[in-house]
Amino acid sequence: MLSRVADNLFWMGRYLERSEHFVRFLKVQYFSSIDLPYPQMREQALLSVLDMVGIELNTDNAKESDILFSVGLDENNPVSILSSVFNGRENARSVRDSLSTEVWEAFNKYYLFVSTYPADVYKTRGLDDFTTNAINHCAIVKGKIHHTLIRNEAFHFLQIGKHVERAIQIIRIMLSKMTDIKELDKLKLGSSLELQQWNIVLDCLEAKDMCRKYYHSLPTKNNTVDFLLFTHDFPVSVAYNLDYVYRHLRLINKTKDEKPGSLEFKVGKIINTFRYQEIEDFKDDIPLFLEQTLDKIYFICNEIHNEYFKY
Amino acid sequence: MLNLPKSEMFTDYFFKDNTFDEVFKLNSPASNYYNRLLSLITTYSTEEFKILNEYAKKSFANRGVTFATYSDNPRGNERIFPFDLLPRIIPQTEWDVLEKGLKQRNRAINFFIHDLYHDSKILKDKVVPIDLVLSCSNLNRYMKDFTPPGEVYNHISGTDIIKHNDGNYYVLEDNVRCPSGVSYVLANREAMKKTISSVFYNFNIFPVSDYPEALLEMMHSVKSDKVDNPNCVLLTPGAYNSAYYEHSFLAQSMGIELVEGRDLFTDNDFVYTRTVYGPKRVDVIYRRIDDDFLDPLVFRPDSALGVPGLMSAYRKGNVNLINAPGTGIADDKAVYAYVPDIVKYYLGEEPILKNVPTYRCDVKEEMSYVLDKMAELVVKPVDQSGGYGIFIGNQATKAEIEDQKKLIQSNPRGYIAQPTMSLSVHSTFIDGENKFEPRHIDLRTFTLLGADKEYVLKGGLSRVALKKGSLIVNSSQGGGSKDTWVIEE
Repeated sequence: MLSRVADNLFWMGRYLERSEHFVRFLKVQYFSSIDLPYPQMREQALLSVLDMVGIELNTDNAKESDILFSVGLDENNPVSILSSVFNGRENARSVRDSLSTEVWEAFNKYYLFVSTYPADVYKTRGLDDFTTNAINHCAIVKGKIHHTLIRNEAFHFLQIGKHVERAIQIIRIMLSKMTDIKELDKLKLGSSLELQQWNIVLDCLEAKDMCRKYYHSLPTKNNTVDFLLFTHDFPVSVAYNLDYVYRHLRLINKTKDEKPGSLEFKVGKIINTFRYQEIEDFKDDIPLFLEQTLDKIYFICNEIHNEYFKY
Repeated sequence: MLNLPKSEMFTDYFFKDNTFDEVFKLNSPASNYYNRLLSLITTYSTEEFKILNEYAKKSFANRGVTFATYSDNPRGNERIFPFDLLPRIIPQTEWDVLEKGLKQRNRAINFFIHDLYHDSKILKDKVVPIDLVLSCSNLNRYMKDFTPPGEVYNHISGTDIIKHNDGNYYVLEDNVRCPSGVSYVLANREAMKKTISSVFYNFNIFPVSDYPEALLEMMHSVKSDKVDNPNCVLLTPGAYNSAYYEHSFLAQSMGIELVEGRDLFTDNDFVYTRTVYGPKRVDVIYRRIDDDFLDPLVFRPDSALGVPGLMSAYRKGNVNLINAPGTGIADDKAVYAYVPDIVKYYLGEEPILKNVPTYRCDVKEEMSYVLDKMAELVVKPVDQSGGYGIFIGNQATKAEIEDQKKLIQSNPRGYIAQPTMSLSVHSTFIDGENKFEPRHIDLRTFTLLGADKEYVLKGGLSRVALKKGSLIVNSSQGGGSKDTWVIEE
């Protein structure tokens, strides 16, 4: 496996996952905000979408449809959904020979769908259609990855990218929501709206039903955060994804010793410390804990880069 | 001519004087097959045919069978190579002669290249003028006295063939450096099978899907003797090269690694890839990078695409390059004029394939002829590809003719002239008109030479000049393509 190819596969996994999160976030945030009682809440919803994707936009005089376009289909915007899909597809295209034809075609169709979606339809009536179909395309690409790739290094690097990105986005969504809640608190609109916000987080991650089942109750701040951080059996928890990052790293190099200073040792150390934490440990300053976890994940990315991609 | 079918798709179909219409010519070897084909195709209405056309285009887009240009848009303008659903048919009896001729011609070219880099007997015997060879910019002095494994230089040859109005095939040019287009042959066949599947049942067509296997076998056959199981790679300039689809397709079809220059390095005159587990030795490289960019230590020092030290490893016999550097000496359009003599000289045989008569502008008597008859001739630069720089006398204004005369007089060695060949035409579905019209066509064939191995792809890329009346078929100039069927008889 060439270092350049491993690098491209890692980022292909990341961009695919990233685009899916952004699409889901856009969809859930937007449609849940439509019937909110106060205009400031709708504005806050749009701002959080911009923030999630990473766009700094002066929203004072901006039309809602233009904001949505900037997030979704603006090819000149390097962090738009289209740009994420384009980047992932360029990664895939650069390493086509290490993927199966099925994976390449699925990703290519996803890209063609997003890049040729008519802007006028998107801005006026197409948001649900666009986001639903984009999510379906992602599911197909992931399905093809799961079913048509042999479990070699190419597969492992793809999965590491996916799991790393998923862990990052789970945390970012929680952080974003805590910011939203803080802003909404200032409006003094009541705590039921806060609970609604945690529902939205779970919807963004397709985790609402499972969280309810797990706790036999409606989601609260603490059990949502607990669920999304520490549930080992659920694919959309940080613990699960970090665990799989570690597993795939070990599969890339089965015989390597986990000596102190090695990549596997560093990653194992972070993950195991994470494993044995609970919300009680940090419930007074959840955002701080989330930020610290995010830093650790970025550290892992850096170490992987230094080990395998630098050439 | 065959009768026109009673289909609205053939309304106002026209025949040009002195032009061989491959579909409608009566009593040609392919007539019966075209009769059968037309009766099948015309069961589709125009609307249905248009839908099939669109479906084929969409399938190319979905599979990413595109070529991209980056001049206008940094993200790239990706385009599909226009594709026509009516296939070109070549009966086996006709094809067998072509195939024999291609093997003969390319084998002779191989001997020629070897001779030029060793004893130059053909120059000493004055069969080919020495000044012609020495003035060729593609003569690679670094190849002197070196013999690659298997004594093969032009492993892959893309010989361009046309059919003239006398019904005979002529070689238009030889391409023995980095000929491209074979991936479109395979992609076109796949598209045809999925779009007009029912038509296939009525013909026994030779498959083209064996090409990647033949290519890999050829690569294995020219490995160094010191190696058992050669590590073969395909060297690409990268994802931003317009032919990148072909590079990745071929690598994937052969199951070999696709590498860029920056993935390779040399150590102790061996070539290695940079893998996540450390260096891995490379034995055979199918390089889709021009000679000039191969090795910054030997050729262009500003090349970021190549591998420093590659030529040293090559000369030591530690890695083989497909095609060998320096084959451009046989690609030269002025040398082309001597290929029939080259066939006779090395093989002692009459050339099976005919050349188009060619006039060298750097020979005084021939230059006078060219200047005199410019309005009836086609003038070509000797070392360009992609159809660029071609001047067609009978389509030029008086002013353009004068400009061209000045151009060739400023650099006589840089140009050759040929009579305007009447390229055959083939019925092509024209999108805007919703009907078939005749368009000029040529054939890019693919011949593989290995150590004791010869293979010719059965069919090839039939390229269509889509612009009405145009004779330029290359994709970069708006050409399209058709599937080519060699019918088993």
